[in-house]
Amino acid sequence: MPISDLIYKCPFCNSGILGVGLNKTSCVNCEIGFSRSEGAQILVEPKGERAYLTSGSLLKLAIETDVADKAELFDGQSYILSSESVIYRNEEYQPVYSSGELIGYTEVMIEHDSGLLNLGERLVFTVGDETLYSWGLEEISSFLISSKAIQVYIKKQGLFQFELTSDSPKEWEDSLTASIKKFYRQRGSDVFAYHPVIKARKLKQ
Amino acid sequence: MIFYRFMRFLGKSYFRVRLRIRIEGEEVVPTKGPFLLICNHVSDIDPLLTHVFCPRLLFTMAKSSVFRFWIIRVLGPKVGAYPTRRFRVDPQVARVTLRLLAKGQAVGVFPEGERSWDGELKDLRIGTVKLLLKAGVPVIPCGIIGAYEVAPRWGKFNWKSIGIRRETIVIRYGEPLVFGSHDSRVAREKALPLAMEKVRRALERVVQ
Repeated sequence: MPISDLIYKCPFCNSGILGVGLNKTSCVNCEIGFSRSEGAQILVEPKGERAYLTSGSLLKLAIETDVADKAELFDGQSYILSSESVIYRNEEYQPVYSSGELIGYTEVMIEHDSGLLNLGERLVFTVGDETLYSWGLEEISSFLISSKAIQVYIKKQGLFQFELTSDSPKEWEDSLTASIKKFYRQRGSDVFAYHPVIKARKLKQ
Repeated sequence: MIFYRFMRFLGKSYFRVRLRIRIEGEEVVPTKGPFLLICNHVSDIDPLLTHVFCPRLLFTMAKSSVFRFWIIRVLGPKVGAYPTRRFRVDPQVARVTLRLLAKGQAVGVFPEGERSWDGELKDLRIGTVKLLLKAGVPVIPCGIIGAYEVAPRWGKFNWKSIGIRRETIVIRYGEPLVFGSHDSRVAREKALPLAMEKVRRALERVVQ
């Protein structure tokens, strides 16, 4: 995965980032550069100032905090996040065998369309002006990252995979986590598990 | 098993050349009989390291999506990997795990369910801990230290760059946890909070 999957927005000014290479990215606004240094260290290069090393986890925390705040402040207008993507749907399972013995299954994903995946009060997939899918957040059973895609399991419908053209799957995971948390809290519940299925319990009054 | 042993030999040779591998607490790993090895997951190379350096042949759950590739579907099971669907409760994976344990095999599990983005332990999956309770076999915590620095999730994975600075990786086994068998769902639900805590603490100790 490129570094821009972790640093998908500037941890300092929250602007977008510009991927320069797999191990380097920079902020489009304040032009701070972020590049992978030795091991898991990130070299931060502020414009006109001295570069310094920091840990990826500190930057990750700053970004996640901003995403959570954004979801909290979302007023239902427009979308929190929109990304170009290709939608795949899991339509069947393929068995996996070992020495003739069934040991599990793998999903067969069928490509359907290219369009825009949008997250707001609902999760919506549009192709041009047409809305192909629109799901309420309560319909999402679980979601997770698979390489460059975000996989969303919809209750009673199954698994959908959105292969993101340029955006970070982690941005989607963080935004979905924050939006779903807010959604359940507004209905008096607290999400205590996201995997393998989202589980919420009633908050005590 | 001959293929598996051969691949282990190749993997061991590769990692010994590229990295400084230090193994601690290997003596706690049973030489025979079933056990579950629970490992932290910080890097792409963790499953390889556990398979290659565990003193016993290990079978591990791998996310089902990797088995979409025919080469993994054919070769994965030959080196002890079997698929688990991560976005739903998967009864098949529990059946396979219990079947392997009943045959006296060692099974490896990554109870966080996915790689960590920052090298820290993530929340443990409830289903995995329920499986440990149902299995009732010794549970050995295993910490992989240093792999995050070699290949963090957000870094471009490249075999050529693995061990370019010949980093040290420590594989540390901790004292086995014994939960006993919890056959009924009620018993598992009751034991779950304490077991989650115990597993987490055991993993925290071995990754320090």
